[in-house]
Amino acid sequence: MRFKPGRCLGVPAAGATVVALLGPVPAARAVPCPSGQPPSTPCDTVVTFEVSSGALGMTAPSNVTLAYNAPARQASGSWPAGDPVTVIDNRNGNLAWTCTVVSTPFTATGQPNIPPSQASYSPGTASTNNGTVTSRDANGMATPTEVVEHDPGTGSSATTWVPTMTVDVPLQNGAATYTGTVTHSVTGG
Amino acid sequence: MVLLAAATLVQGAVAGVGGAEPGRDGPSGEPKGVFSIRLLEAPLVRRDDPRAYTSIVDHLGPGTTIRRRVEVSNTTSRRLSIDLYAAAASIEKRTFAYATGRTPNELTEWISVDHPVLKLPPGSKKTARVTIGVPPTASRGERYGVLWAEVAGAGTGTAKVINRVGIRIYLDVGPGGEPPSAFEILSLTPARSPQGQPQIIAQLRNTGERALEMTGTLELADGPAGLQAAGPYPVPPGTSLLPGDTGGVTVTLDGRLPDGPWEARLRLRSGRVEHTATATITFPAAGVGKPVSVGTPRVAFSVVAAAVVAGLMLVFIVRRRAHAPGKRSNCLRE
Repeated sequence: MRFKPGRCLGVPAAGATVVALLGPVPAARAVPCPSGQPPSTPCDTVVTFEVSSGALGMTAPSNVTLAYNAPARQASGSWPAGDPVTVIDNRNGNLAWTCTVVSTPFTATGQPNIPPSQASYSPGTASTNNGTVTSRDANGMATPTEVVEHDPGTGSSATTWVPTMTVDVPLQNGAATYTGTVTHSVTGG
Repeated sequence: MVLLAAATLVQGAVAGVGGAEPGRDGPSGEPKGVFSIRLLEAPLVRRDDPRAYTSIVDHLGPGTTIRRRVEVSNTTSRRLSIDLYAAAASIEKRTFAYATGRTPNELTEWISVDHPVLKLPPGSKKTARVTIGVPPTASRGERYGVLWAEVAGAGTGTAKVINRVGIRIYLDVGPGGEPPSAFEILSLTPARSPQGQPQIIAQLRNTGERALEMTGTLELADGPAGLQAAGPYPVPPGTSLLPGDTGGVTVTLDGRLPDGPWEARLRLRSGRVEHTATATITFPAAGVGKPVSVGTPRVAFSVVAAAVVAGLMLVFIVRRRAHAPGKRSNCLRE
């Protein structure tokens, strides 16, 4: 028999060292394999730990009515001042988020669609209680356009803004009730 | 014709708008709660990766299936129907861009959720499970998506409003270990914005094999007229760099700062990788100044330190055990 330090000591020693460097390891949860799958498949090796970060949330919306201004050929409307768009970020760490808006065409029976490029969105001044927030208008809403960006402070933040939306009605569009859908999307990394 | 259209729209356009729900908040403007989503678990191997705490970041071999739990909650005063689904995303023009609606991509076709619609009473929350099954035939490469929690607007209106909050997904597929994440800071360029604010533009290159999401801070030191320091100023978020791509991040500073010279120290980070670059810069009166090279950036300190310490400890343990006669019997069993 021959002494083989590499085989009998190296691997467990290295494993212990790495764990020590990472600090206390939180409760790990092995993900079970689907039934019938042998335990040697990769799913058996995926081990997770509990994340303590908080949530990213926003207000549940109410629909908005756009009022038509005939001389300007524009329909516009603001979110109610008492019902602003609010984003609450309780995730831990130095994390930013952005909000984009996009619109569908505005449609009415028997009328040509008003394309979303005719719609614009102004977030107005956004305010936050932590970190910094910048806002800019989306002139044309055919593709997702960033309108509000929040740079992190330390800890949780609540950010609000009261948007205004305007739709320029093309000359060929006649009298009708046009409806469309505008989507706010908020994520951050 | 136009006037008729005006009348119809002014009247509130009650027809044809869906999404009304009973129990919505009144118009009095009382503070409302939110609906929210959070990730409940992350892979153990990414315990030191801050991105993994809020995004689904993983490297999987073809044929692998993983599951992640997320929590969706409702702190509003109305009962909410919350849709939970994955939709496509991509990195375009150095920005993590998400597609409209439920646009699919290859990644989203691998994703299923156990509760696609969550009916949540006020003040409640529910855990949902997301399964990502990478087919055995999947080709290597990184794919992007977002797991969205979505609520449609209540009440009537010509503009139906949808709000959604999401968890980003960065999934790399390939055999073997994870491809490296790496970048280098090429230069720092002083500049002045059209509004007159001093800026520093950092050029960087993704030298790794995974997409990067840049965050960081900029500090100034050793300023003119005895000014000691300024900052830290945050690096604006939202710069995503694909492997091999070169791009810039622009940090805008306080407009009252003197021109310099300053010692600028930029710390950039993406996930587990961090670099610091320093350069002596002077802000121009207007426009963009000359780029200042920053030399070879340092490799992420924590990674190097961990590797060195691990190596030293390994050597120490092996040598110590090799010289400890009492321990030798354990090793001779084989």
